Amino acid sequence: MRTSFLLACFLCVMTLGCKSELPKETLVLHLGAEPSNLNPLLTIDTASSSVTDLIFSSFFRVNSDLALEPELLEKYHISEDGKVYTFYLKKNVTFHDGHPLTAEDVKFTYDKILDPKTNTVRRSNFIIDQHPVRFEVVDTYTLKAYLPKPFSPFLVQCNMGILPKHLLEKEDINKASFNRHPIGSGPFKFLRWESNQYLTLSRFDSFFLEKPKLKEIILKIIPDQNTAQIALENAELDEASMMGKDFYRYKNSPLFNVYRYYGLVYVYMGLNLKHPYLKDLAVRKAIAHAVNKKGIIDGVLKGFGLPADIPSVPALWSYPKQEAITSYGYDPEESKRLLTEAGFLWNKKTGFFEKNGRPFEFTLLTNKGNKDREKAAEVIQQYLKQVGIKMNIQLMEWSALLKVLNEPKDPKSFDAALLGWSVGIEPDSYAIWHSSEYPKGFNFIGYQNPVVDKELVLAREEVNQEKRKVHYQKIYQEISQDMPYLFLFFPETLQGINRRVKGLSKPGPAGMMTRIESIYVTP
Amino acid sequence: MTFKAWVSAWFLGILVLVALFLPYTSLDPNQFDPSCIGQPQSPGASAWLGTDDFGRSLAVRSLFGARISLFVGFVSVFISSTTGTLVGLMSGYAPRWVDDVVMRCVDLMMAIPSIFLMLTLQVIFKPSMVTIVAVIGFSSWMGTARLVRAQVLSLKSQLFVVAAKARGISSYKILFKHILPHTLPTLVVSSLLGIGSAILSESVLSFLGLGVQPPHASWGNMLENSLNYLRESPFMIIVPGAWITLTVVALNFLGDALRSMFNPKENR
Amino acid sequence: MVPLLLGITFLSFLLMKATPGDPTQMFTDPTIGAKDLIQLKKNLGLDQPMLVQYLKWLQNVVQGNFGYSFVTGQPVMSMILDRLPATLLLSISSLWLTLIITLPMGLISAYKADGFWDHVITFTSFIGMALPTFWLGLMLMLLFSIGLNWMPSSGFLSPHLLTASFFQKSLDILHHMVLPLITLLIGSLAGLTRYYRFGVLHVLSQDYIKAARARGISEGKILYKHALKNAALPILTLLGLQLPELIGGAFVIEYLFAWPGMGKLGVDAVFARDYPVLMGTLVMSSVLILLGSLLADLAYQWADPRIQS
Repeated sequence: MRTSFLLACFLCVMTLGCKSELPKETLVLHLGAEPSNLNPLLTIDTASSSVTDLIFSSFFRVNSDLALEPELLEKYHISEDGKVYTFYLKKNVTFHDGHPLTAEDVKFTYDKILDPKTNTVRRSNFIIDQHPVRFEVVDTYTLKAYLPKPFSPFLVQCNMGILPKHLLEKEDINKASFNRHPIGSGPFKFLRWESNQYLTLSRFDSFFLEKPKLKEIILKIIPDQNTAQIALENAELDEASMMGKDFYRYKNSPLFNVYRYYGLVYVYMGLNLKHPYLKDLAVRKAIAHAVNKKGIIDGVLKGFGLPADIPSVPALWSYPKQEAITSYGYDPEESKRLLTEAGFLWNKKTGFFEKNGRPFEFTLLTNKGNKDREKAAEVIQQYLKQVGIKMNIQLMEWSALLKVLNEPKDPKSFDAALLGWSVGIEPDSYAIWHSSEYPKGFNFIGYQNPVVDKELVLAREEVNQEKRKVHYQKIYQEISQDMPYLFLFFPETLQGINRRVKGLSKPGPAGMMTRIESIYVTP
Repeated sequence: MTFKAWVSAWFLGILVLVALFLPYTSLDPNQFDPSCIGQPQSPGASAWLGTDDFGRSLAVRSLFGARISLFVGFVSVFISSTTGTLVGLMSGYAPRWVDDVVMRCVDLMMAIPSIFLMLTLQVIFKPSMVTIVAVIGFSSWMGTARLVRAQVLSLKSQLFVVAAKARGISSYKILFKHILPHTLPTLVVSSLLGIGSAILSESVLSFLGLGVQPPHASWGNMLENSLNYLRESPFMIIVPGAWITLTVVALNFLGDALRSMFNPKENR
Repeated sequence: MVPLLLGITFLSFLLMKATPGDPTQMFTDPTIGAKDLIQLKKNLGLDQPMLVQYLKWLQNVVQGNFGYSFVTGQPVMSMILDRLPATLLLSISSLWLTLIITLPMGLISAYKADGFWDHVITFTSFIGMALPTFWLGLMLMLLFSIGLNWMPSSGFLSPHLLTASFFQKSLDILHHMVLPLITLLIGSLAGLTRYYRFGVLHVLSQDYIKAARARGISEGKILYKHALKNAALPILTLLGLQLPELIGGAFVIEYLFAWPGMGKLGVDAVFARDYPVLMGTLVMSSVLILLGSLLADLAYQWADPRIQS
């Protein structure tokens, strides 16, 4: 009797609410993780930014051509010496509660970032050479920023969601309930947040650019990639990213389109330049010649990627001429020759090269949780084995890995690490390549090249884009020659979007929903 | 012993033998040609159990995986049984207040969900065979400790122990020469079951990426590897899962049979 | 109880501090300066000696303040309370269903020992005990969600039902809960059924059962009044022992099915080194576990009147 009762319940539950449908006039997006909070000052993780980008507006937005398009700004002006920036705000902008957005709110936002009590890591964007940038309100809609010296990355780095002064000036920004119930000036208003399930946003009718076509946006939190793909197929999500191996299966799906485009993330193998073997350029060249980048892309990414020799993509303005880039192609014989020349002896019994009786053996660290990187590591291991180099793989937990890489000691305790960096539209990467950023900083491999050092500084201080391009060409030329990183590839993003979604931008690294207010869904 | 138990014993025995002699064969579970990485193939003529996404034979990997999973199982259970027995013996035999303190500590450790314990320990020590075995071993000794202690408590008051004490035999001798043998049957059974649970724990650790490192195959990390191929190549996930299930079932059948053997009073 | 809680928290604190890295190391944006990280560390109080940090935390807890998450800035208590209902729903349903399914199954299995049903039940329990949890979960998802499309693949409540009636919402939640629940159930059912079967067998072989039969008492009454209750005692203890796993350990299931419970909160906190959240989760789990054990003890007393507290 009890069993039959249970059975009845079971059947009941199953028949009701069977297939979920995508709601009308609403876009259902996928979030791969729970956002930490919704205050753009306090967060830099992707999940939080995906949401805050919809709720807040900033000076510029990045369009499909990877250029800065004014959003809040009417226009801006940079002085001759590059030290004074004048920002002219649009006059018709209001926050979600009706309050107008003025230069006071902008100054408030930037001052909060500079305030040491705020738990933000963006502060260094506004401190140049130990001096903070000074912001000054000229009139209701005009703001001036005074820099201690010219610094061209400033324009991109100062792009922040603007906070409402009237709601936050008396609050402790780190703990304010605002962070869970934000009020911005973006196209969508915050409606609710069910922890670890989803967030709901609703249309802001008075959005200053144009009234958004969608009534609501739901962002569903599904951490597991496979589960998200299943949800896309079951019409529980409007979009989800997918893996290379699934592309051809879904290409002709009646339910959704699959788009492919390059992202701005590159995967690389960083080599500790203080390692007794790796510090030798010939050895690094040997490693480069041993690895078939195309092979990795085909095998691991199923062909959806671009081999990389420098930390930049053709879509960026800073990408140099092809002649400036040195590319070490797949040539295992050359690899063996270089190693022999460098004094290594081939041991026929073990199949590995040796020096002083010890095999050429080193360990590659990478973080657990990124399947593509783990597989790339295994493939590299095989390639190196083929030429006679023994590479071991050690998966580490993310924090633990970071600790090893960032430890401020010289030499650092790792041999090589497989990681990724994302490149922004701002090419300045001083923190990664400048010799001063070692051992404290992100130059964890210990790269020291005086030409690159000089050019990095010059490129930051030059405001003219054409002139900057020349500097970066020199930088990339040096880096591709020296090979401090074995640059591997730029993976492609494959995104499945339900066919009912219209108004999308062209596929590109900025994503396909750069103008969220123009997006709508057909019933 | 029942039919089930015999089959299990044979299965385990063969598995252990194969695992021991594998390195002397020429099979290599990790070899693949990086320039033409294969697609996963379904079980068929060329590969008995199919291949994984690097074109490596699942059958060969499963056997090498057996080596590792069994190793992890046996060694971690050895650690947990030894630790648990020592603690249980001493706590059960010691004066009351010592027993209380020790049991409180055991309760403490049992109250922390094992996954937190294992996770934290594995994060502190970089994942490697040694740490995996140690972590699993030191997260699961508590059950054995309780079991042994309960037995010691009930045996303590038995006539032969009282007699031994009266004869002036030292406590250590009593514990190890007289009481311990009586706890052995229970220990054997719980160890066998423990091996199964250790194998399952290894699979969870590998699922989180903190288990056996690539390219080495363990059943746990073969499972983790196949998550992305759930739909198009389900055999990639069925094969390791089936191996784990079969082995643990065999261990449980065997353990169960031994338990009934040691307790003839029970109405099997 | 209190010393136990103190012990758990101190042990966890020590373990946490032993793990390499801290929350400020999670930031790897090259535009971030080292100074900012140091400032962050100071703001979060991470530069103070370990014991001081622990005592500060303890002091706050006693006053009911579990602190704020390092990652989200949210009060830890509210984060936990957000996730508590989902966890409790899943674990209590699992416990309850385990009980009402185990008891009849174990009874039948033992009563008709060596019969057809006994073999079936025994065999399936062995398999159930041996299945890796996430494997089972994936298989179920494959079958029921992708294959047959009977159940949603993940989540807790469909967003479009947020403003629906309580009844509709409950039904939807139940719908989402089916797969995770079955996954949880199979594991715990299998083990318990075996133990229960043993227990019943043991009871049934006792002399007083023979006596009862001789006196002409009906089989049904024997089974219910004697076998069930007496054999249930060790089961209650075992269920109590399962609590730590159910509450904190259902992590794998929560991850797979995107079920917003406390297990995942805790594990994520370990990876993010979010100490306040982790400590809060552990305290909460421990409290729940201790409560559960208390209830188990009470149930024991009800089942066996000979036992005094």
